[in-house]
Amino acid sequence: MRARSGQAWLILPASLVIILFMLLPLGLMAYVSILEKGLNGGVVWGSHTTEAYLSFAFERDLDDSLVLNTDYLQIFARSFGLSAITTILCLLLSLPTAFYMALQPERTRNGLIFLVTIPFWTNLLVRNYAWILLLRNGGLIDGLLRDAGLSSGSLNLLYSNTAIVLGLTYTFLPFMVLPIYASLEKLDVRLVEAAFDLGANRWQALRRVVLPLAMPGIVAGCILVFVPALGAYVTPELLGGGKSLMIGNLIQGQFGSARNWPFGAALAFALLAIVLLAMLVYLLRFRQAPAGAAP
Amino acid sequence: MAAAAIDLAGLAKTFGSGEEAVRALDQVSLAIRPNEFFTLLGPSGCGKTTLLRLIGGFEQPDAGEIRLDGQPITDLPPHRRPVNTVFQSYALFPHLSVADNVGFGLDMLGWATQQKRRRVADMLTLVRLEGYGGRRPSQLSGGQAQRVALARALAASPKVLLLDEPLSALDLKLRKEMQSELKRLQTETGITFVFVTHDQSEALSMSDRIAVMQHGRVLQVGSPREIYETPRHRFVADFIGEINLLEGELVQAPGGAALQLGEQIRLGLPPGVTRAPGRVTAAVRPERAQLVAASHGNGALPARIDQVVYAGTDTTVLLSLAGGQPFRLRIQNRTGAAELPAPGAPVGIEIPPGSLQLLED
Ligand SMILES: Nc1ncnc2c1ncn2[C@@H]1O[C@H](COP(=O)(O)OP(=O)(O)OP(=O)(O)O)[C@@H](O)[C@H]1O
Ligand SMILES: [Mg+2]
Repeated sequence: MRARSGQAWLILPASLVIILFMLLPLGLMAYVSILEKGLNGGVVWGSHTTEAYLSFAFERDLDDSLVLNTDYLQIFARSFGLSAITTILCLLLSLPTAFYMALQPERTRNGLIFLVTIPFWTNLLVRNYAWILLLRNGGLIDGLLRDAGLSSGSLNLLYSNTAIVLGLTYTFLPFMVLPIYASLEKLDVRLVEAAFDLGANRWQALRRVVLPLAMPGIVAGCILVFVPALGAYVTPELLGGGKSLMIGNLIQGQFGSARNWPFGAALAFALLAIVLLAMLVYLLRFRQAPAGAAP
Repeated sequence: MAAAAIDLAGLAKTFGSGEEAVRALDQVSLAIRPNEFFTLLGPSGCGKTTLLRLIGGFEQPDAGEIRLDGQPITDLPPHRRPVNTVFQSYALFPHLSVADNVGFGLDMLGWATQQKRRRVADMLTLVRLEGYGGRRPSQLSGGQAQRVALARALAASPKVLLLDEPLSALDLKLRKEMQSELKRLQTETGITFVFVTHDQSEALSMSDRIAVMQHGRVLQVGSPREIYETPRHRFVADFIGEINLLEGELVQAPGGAALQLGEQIRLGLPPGVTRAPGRVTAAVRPERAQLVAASHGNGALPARIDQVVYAGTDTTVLLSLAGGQPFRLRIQNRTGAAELPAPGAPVGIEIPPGSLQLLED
């Protein structure tokens, strides 16, 4: 018992930080989301309303009656769609990459992990501006294609959903590669040999043994890509150019120019609920995930 | 299911290159007969696993050929060989139930669900694990996991089953149990077993024939009795059971070949020795020599008793020969046997001619 309570001190600093700087502000946000909005931003303290949550799908008409407004739901749908496409693209790119990495000799593997993490060394803004240089009309891609005679006029790549997906995929790719690689790397090769031994060809061994055993890594990678992509702000702001909004931009707008703090807080909470739900599903499904061989 | 014969001709395998090259197999040629319980026996690192992996198709030989029922299979990938393996680590699929593990090979062959379910049940009965089909490998004991691995490898009726030290992780009691179980399975299924072990008593009690390996080479192939009683190499003699080595001069005497030890002692050798006279090493098992009185004469080795170790079924007598070399002798404990002389007493050791075995180094 004594040792147990002694150990508890070790996580005290982290607990304090989480309570002070995360749970408290979150609680405050939750409270803000059910307050009436102030006229010039901020809120009217003590005046409770569910107005913010109603604004997801409705707006007040001139005579104060509720009218359906799907603008915000569309932004939610777009965010989910773009995040899903991003996740799928990351998965398709990461699976072969992670396989290749896991099959290399140990020294090469460490070098490859290093290469995968290199984008983290550069500021996110800088990386997104780099994409602008690549994608804009007259930029590298547009120019090259025109010089090669493959396009006439402008491609209009930038400020589109395509540009956002490209940017998000690029940004979050390492978060997919690394967990998949980690689960493949600790996979017991003897299990694959056993599959071959029992008559499985390469494809069958992959589908029946390798992929199921790598599934925890694949799911972790999907969550690590999908969840932050859903809340992305910088990439849709710069590459979507304000034409293609995602939830992150919407929230920023409510706290900024729209001066609707309660709605911004409510949006943030909806996002959080979705993220927590995803985590819950993951935990329930893969908590007892098998890993490695029998004892 | 007709069991197959395996022919290995001149197999060689080297791992690494240059300074670090390890010659794991060196000119291995073996003919394994159909229905045989064939054992590869040898110390750690002698190439047993490598040989199995070549037969299973997980490694390619640098030279040589592997034939199964006369068909060359050297170039076939593992999944096209009618050969299954029970891996040293069992390698059960952790994400599949016991039943799905056992049925895996049948799935690969495209068996219908009904048929497969029946076969899996039969296999689980065969290895005495009825009702365990729904468990996960992580919920099994070592012995149970071992039997699942066995059922999985046998399910598709392979022509040959390769077993890489399948019993090494089990405790002694379970090990004995599984030994007879394996032997029973082999007899019942009639499948050719190629069994790897570094445990000599396991090899002697289970095998039809044994190949003793050292440094990637096969030194001797024979029945357990041949390997034990007429070892041809010093290593084989030493590795299997206990043995006494005697160095002397091979001479041709009127009564046949004999081993001359020092000036006076001359021991008769079994008939049929064709070696040229010269220095040789001969071997005799501890239980084949007899203790006689010191005054026995030139047919016996003079010795002195150092220690008498009583071990229930038998007694081991540790002696020193005239030159000081140790000699070990084992006597069955029988009712009414004479009392042994006390340590320090001079005695004689008699070695019947048929018990002395000439060794090549
Ligand atoms: N993949 C490999 N790479 C390099 N060397 C290897 C490899 N596999 C085996 N060896 C070497 O080849 C030799 C034979 O190995 P092998 O595994 O066949 O021995 P073994 O007889 O099965 O031993 P044990 O009883 O310990 O299992 C050893 O010296 C080993 O170090
Ligand atoms: Mg081995």
